Amino acid sequence: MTRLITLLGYVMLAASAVGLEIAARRRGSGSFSDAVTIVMGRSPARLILLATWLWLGWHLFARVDWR
Amino acid sequence: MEDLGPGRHRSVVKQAAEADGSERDTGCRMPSRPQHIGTGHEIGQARQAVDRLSQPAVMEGLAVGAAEGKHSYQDGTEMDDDRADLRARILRTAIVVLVVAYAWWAVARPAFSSSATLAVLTAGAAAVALGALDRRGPGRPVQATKVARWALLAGALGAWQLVAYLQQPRDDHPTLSSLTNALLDSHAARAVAFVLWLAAARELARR
Repeated sequence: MTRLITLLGYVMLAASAVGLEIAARRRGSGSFSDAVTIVMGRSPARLILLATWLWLGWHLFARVDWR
Repeated sequence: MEDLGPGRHRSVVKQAAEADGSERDTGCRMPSRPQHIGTGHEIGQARQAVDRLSQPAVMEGLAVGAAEGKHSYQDGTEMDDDRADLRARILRTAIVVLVVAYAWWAVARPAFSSSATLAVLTAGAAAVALGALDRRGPGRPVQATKVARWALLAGALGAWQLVAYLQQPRDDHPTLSSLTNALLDSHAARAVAFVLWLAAARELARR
């Protein structure tokens, strides 16, 4: 049951993201792409986001035993 | 057209063949080959060729081709453009093949090994560097308040992930990482994910 609740939480968050994106595109601004552009326009946030992205790749592709 | 004599038939067929040749030069749509329609087929073929050439789409294509001068290679300009296009296409294909081959190799490195770390971080850093070298110019201005909802959503996702991470067992409280592990179970899926991760890193760095 707890697994189901956890998964439902992720699904709701994903659905919210899709809803936000659709609403933003209808408005013509405020899309995910706009949000990323704003974050990447500020140096400290840019560095943090890029470092986080590299960490994510390292975590997924170098720190998981697939076999 | 009903009263065409044998000489006139040959003339019409010849004209149709010449028209085909000009279309080839202009890059326009070629009419399909006339079909064999039995006895007296020469008349039928000639009529089919003329009918097809007179179709509006074919005539429009001929006009557009002539207007753009695609049939003229005398100055050599179009030839150069074609060669440059071909070269760019070959280069792009070669880069894609190399990246996919590298991804295939990189995700096969033993887990937790320094070779895996090196393979992943080197490629990631290269993708970021390439993106940074090719940064986009300033786009249209966006108000920060309009994207505040994304910050809220990111915060909610982080909180939900943390709650799951702090609880055990993992099967009952899956994190995004543990869910991803299940999705990326095959070598091919991991290689595809690696390529997407690299592409996203480059795209991020371009902004």
